[in-house]
Parts: sequence; C-alpha cells; structure tokens
Amino acid sequence: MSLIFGLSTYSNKVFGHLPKPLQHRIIAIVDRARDPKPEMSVTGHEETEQQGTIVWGWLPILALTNALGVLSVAYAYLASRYVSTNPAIFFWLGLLFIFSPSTGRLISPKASRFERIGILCVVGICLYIVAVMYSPLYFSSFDEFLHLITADTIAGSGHLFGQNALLPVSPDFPGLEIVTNALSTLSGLSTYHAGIVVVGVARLVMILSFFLLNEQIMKSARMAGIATIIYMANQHFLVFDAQFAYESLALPLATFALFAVAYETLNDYGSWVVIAGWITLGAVVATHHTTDFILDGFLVLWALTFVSLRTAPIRKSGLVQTALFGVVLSIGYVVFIAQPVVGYVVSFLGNALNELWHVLVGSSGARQLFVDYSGEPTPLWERAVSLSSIALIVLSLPFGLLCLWQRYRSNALAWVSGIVSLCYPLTLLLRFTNSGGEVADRTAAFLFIPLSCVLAIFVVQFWPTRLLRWKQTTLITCAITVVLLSGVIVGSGPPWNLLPGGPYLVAADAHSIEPDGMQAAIWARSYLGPNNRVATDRINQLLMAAYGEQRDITSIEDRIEVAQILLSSSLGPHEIAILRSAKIRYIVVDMRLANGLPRLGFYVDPAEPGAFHYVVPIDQEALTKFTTIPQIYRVFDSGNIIIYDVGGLVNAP
Amino acid sequence: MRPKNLDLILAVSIASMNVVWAMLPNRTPLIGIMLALPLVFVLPGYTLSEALFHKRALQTSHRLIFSLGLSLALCVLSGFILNVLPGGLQAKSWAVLLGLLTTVFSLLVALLRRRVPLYTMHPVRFRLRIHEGVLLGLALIVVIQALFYSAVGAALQPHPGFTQLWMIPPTRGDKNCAVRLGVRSFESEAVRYRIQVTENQEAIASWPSIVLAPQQEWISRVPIITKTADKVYIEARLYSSDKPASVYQQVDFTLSREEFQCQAIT
Repeated sequence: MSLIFGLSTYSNKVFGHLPKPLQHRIIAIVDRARDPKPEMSVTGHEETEQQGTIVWGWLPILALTNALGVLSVAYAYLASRYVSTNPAIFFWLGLLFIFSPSTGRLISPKASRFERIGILCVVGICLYIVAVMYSPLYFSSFDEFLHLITADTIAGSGHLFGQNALLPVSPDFPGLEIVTNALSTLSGLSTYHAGIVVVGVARLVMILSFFLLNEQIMKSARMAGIATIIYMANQHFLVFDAQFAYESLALPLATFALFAVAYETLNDYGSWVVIAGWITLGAVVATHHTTDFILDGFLVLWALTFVSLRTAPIRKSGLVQTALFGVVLSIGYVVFIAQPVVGYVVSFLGNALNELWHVLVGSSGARQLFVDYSGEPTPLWERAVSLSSIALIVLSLPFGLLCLWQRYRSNALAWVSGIVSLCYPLTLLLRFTNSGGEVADRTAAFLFIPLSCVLAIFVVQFWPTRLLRWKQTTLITCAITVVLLSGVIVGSGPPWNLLPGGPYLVAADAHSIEPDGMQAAIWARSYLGPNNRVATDRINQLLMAAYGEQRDITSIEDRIEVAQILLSSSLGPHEIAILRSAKIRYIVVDMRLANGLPRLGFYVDPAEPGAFHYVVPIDQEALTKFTTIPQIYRVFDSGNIIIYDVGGLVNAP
Repeated sequence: MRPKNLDLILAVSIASMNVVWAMLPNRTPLIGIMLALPLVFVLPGYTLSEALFHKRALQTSHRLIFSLGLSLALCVLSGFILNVLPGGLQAKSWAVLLGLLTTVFSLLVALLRRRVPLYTMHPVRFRLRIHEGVLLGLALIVVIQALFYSAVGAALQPHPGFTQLWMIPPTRGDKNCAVRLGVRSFESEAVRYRIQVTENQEAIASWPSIVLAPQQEWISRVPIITKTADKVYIEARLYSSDKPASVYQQVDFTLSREEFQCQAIT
C-alpha cells in the first residue's frame, strides 16, 4: 500500500479498514493516477511532422468553424444594437462554435503538435475578435479609458510618468502604453487601433507561452494543448484580459518569463539564456504591479521547491538568481518610481479582507450572489452553469493533485502548480463580499495558470488515450465548455452587460457611454480649454478626462469626496467648503442619474455614502440644486448633460 | 555578410527603412503599418534570441515565441531609455532606438555565427492542399466580414438625438463685452430652432428660425447692453419647431458689474 500512496504507514492502516469495494475503487483511481503511459507514444501525424512536413489536419476546417462562430457573435451584437428582442442565443452559439469543436480535437490523440498550436492560436484570436467586436470603434470599458488617458498623456508630452487622476498608479506602470506609443507613432495608427493590435499580439504571446510552458512541464503537446484550452475558459480570458489595460500585456509577458526560465532550467541551455527571462522580468515590473508581485511570489516558491528537491545543482540553474533578481527589481521599482502602488494595493486587498472578516463574524451580511445592484437577477440557467463549473473544478482538483503527485512530483514547477492551485477554492469565499468579488475575479487569471495544468494532468491520466472513445471525448469537451460558459457569464458581469447596445443605463460603464456624454466632453475641451478642475459622476469622469482633457477631482488622487457635492439634496456650507478646497471650476451633471439605480452600486465612487445599498434612485432635486444659486453659471445644456461654472462661488471672498 | 545571414540582412534592412520612413514629412499609414509591425513585435526579439541561442537550433515555435516575447519586453524597456532623452517618445526616436537594437544584435549574431558552425536545421515544409487552402481562405473572409459587420453596425447604431446649447460669459479682455452663444445639433435630421436671449428678463436678441443639419453648429455673439446695474442676469432659451411652446434647452448666468464692464477693466 505504501507503494500506492507513497504516504505513511498510518494512512495505510486507515486504508486497510475501509470496505473492500471502496478499497478496489481507490486502487483503481490510484492506478489511473500513476499510469506511466496514458498517451500513445507517437501519432502518424507527429511522425510526419518529425520528418519536416507540416500536417494541417483539422486546422483548416476548425478555422472555418471558428470564423462562423465569430460571425454568429457579430450577428448577436448587431441585433442587440438594433433589435429589441434578446439575441443572446447567437452569442452563445457563436462561442460554442469557436470553442467546443476545437476542444474536442485537442483532446483527441490524433492531432499533430503543429495542429494543436494552430488550433489554440485560432481559438485565442477568435475569442479576442469577439471581445473587440463588442466596441469596434472606440474603447468603452472603464479600465480601457483609464489607460487611454495615460497613453494620450504620453503621446501628448512625449514623456512618461504624467498624471492620471482616475488611476494614479497607471502612469507609474506604463509598459502597455509604451508599446502602444511605439506602434502608434511609427505606423500612424490611432491609440485605439494601435492598442487593439498590441493586445492582440500579447494574446498570441500568452497562448504560445502557456502552451510551451506546459509542454516543458509535462513533455506532451496534447497535455499542453488541453491545459491551454482550459486556461482559455477562465473568466478573465474573454473580456478582462482582452481589454486595453496593463494586465493584458503583463500577464502574457509574465507567462513568457516563466517559459523562458523553465526553458533554461529544464533544458540546461547555459547562463546566457537566462537573460531572456531577466529582460522580460524587467518589462513585467514596468507594466503591472499585481502581475509582477504574483510572478515574484511564484518564482520564489519555485526556487525554494527546486532547492528543496535538489533535482539539479543550484549553481547550474539560473532559477534562484532569477527569483532574487525579480524580487530586488520589484522592490527597487516600487521604492524609487512607484511608491503610491503600495497604498493602492494594500487598500484594495484590505477592503476585501475587512469585508470578508465582517461577513465571517456575522457583523455584516454577505453579498447577494447572482443579483446586480439594481436588483436584476441572473437567469437561472446561468446560475446553474456557474455553480456546475465551480463544482467541476473543485471536485476535479483533488484527483488532479493526486495525478500530479504520482507522476510529476520530481518536477519543481509541477509542485508549485499543485500548491498554488489550492488557493482557488479559498478565493471563492471572497465572492460573498463586494470588494472581494473583484479580487476573486482578478486572481482567476493567475490561479488558472497552475490550475489548468493540474486539471489537464487529471484529464490525461483518467482518460488514457487507449481507452478514449467519442463518448469520453464528448464528456470532457462538455465539461470544459461548461467551465468556459461559466467564465463568460462571470467575466462579462451582470446579464445587461453581455451584449453591446441597448438603452442608456445608469452607472453601467460601457452601457452608459454614448454620444451625448462624449460630445459634451469634446465641447468642454474646445470651449473651456483643457485641465479645468471638474467634479462629476463616474462615467462623465472618464469622458471628461479622455475626450475633454479635463482634470477630474477624485477621492483616489485628491482625497476629496466630490460625491457629496453631486448627491446631497442641497448645496450647503459643507458642499461649498468641498468645492473650495478642491478648487473646482466646473460641475458636470448628468440628469439621467435620476432615472434608475446605479447598476454598479454607486454613482461617483465606491466610497460614497450609500454605495452598494441604494434602494431608490438619486432625487432629481439633488441634480438641479445648482440652478438656484446666482454665483453658479449654467453654461452648457444638452438636455441630459448640464455643465455649471462654479468659479464665481469658489473664488467668492 | 555570408548568405547564411540573409535573415539578419533582412532585419537590418527593415530597421533602416523604418528610420528613413520616420524622417519623411508625409507618411502613408499603410506603409507605416507594414514597416512598424516587424520592428516593434519581431526584429529586436528575433535578433536577440538568435544571439542567445546561437549554439543550438531552436524549434520554429520556440523561435516565434522568443521573437515576440523579447521584442515586447525590449520595447517596454526602450520606452524608459527614450524617456530620459530630450526627444522623448516619438516616431524618429523609436525608429532609431529599435533599429539600433536590431542592428547591434544582428552584428553580434553575425559574429557568433562565424565562430560557431551553423546548426543544421531540417527545413519545414508546409504542405497545403487545395481544399485546405480554400477552407483557410473562407475562414479569413468570414472573419473579415464579421469585423466589418460589427464596425458598421456600431457606427450606424441609433442613438437618441440631442442638441447642445451653450453660452460663455465675456472674457476680461473682450472689448465688445459680449457673451458667446452657440447651438450644435446632433439630431437625426435637420431641425428648425428658435433662440431667445434676455437680459434682466428683457429680450435683447432673438433668432426666430435657425435650421441646423445633423452635426451642424451655429455660433453668435450677443453684446451686453446694460451698463449701469450692479448685476445682470442673462438667459438664453432654445426652442425646437416641433414643440415651440416649451423650452428645449436653457443656459443662464448672473454677471456682476466687473464682469460685464469688460472694456473698462481692460
């Protein structure tokens, strides 16, 4: 028995007391988990490939299937912009067309390595096109606007480290904006189009790096292909990591850095090769703080495991030096360039953990799952898919870890993957808090890197190719597709956010950005000039900064709560004091805020009084209170957007 | 350079063309894109990876990922170098720096290849049959069609029409002491407007019929008449022809004496 488990004699005693049928079942599971040859040695296609001829296999027909999936999604988007009936079925159908046949082929043992890489690239790019088509003319998500502002500041000044009041840490991590600037200035493309291309190339780097990293660990193109397609099912892949934001570049670079280090460590290519890892580490440090910190943690854990396993002489490997280099570089960058990031990250995590603590001790209620802040519930089938996906992952994880222990425990990187993947169930707890839900979402993109590796090992070990029939292939394909659908449901947010178009919604990011607000911002730039200090709601903050080049007053940059000015029922001494201390010149009021509850739970800022707990929309009187004060000028009116000049009030003696 | 360095010759040529292109005053975007894409995403990484792995043959997939990944990383780090230079981040400096990196790495590779015998590589043959080519071509056409479809759909997406009315107080240097008044239509069709401006509730200007096509703007200046009062309340009202009795948009402000006696202050 000790041979079976590799554990203590105590465990074996416990095993001996179990009922015989259960013992047989466990032995069968362990046999599967440690099967040394779960895959056929070499397929016919691979043989041909080794002889130097590329075999396309199913790639052309799958490329066409993927393209038809993209067309179906395009139709869903178009219909949602023009037709009132819900065309979501075409969206889901399109995703299934892109994902499921390709997944089935990747599970099959017959595909060649080239075919697998080709399929993964096609699926990844098609999913990226799905994300781009959501807003094919301009950036529309909140985070994209934040980085557009930084990119435009760099383009305007020609220098880094400008100011961004909406995300003050963004100029300190300008990696994405630098590459976008290079492409934009050299090619003549706009920031939007250059950004689309940069994130697309980064997406390609992510897919290839991830595949090749897993291939280094598992020495199998099939396992690496399955791991990569599982990774693509995570909730951040389709939407969040396809947007113009720093993580979309940093994560591919981090994965590439891991691959470069693994390539050097596992193949003993010599110390010069480690330079590739170091250069990439430097780029990650300058691109995204969270990705950098997580990468450093991963490298340190990997180095420690590597040292403790003593699989090779430490001096011969650049891993330990690379981990140390990464940590020193990150600390140096934060200390000398990006000090504000410490407060930013600490407050972000602190809020989540604080909320979780209150939920656990019962001093505050848990966040209601599957309902947005305006009370709109998630459809039942979407709830079922989400819960099924979590159940599939959580139940498969122990078996995956068992397989990993039996087959790959001499590999330090596989060890680290196993350890880190255990964090996944813990992050699910954070979903019961407002801030924690976002943390859980954010960590998914990172946790799925080791998690998909463990799950791929589980799939390959438990369904060895000699026993694989179409039924098993279909079953595994369906399971991975459920994880994808769940990822899309969770990643795209509330149901109203799934498709573009539709009527204006209050505080709903992409669904609140429309020509009225954009044109008001453009007017402000043309007639009021740039860099006026402006107080406004969340959406108009974005527009006024990005299109209007105005200087928004925000709690994150100025430590001033402008929400009070907009949301209070009257403009009293307290509000006037805020106006004066913030030296605000213009107030931009969106009259539509009174039309409904804020879809994201707040109008201006998550820290505003009443955030996440509104039960009635803001009163119309609160928005019109400025009209009665003689020192305030009403200089602009488009019906929905009104701009007040409060210079007279602020500068009054 | 020997024929085996054909890849390096090509890399340096593209880098040089980028430098020349960046110096030109008028540049066609299409050529700019074709030149910039390899310089930003491929060449620096490719030449560096050739230098790092000069002793062994890299698989095509490994060469591709090292080229793309290292190019992105080098581009990010190059941005910091350009930032400390007076010219900053602009087309010429980008072309020169990325071109310089490509050239230096290429020379290094050429040197290393002289010392180490060129690794033997089996040339990869892409055997594409007609039906496979047709399928891939169809896939490309469908994707382009889908992108076009979504872009046109987004551009022509119907939005509720609106009209902007604005009025800006006179600046202190304004000799005419006039407010600037403007209307811009974003309605879906041409609309007939009426504008009325009052000063302390008395009409001082009106435009009974202004027809604006979509995106069209109308601007005027309205001199302030009152010279004696301590304060003057100016209001502009916009009416549209479909609802002539109700105010469509409205702007107003109360100016103090020092604000409307512009010329005196000047």
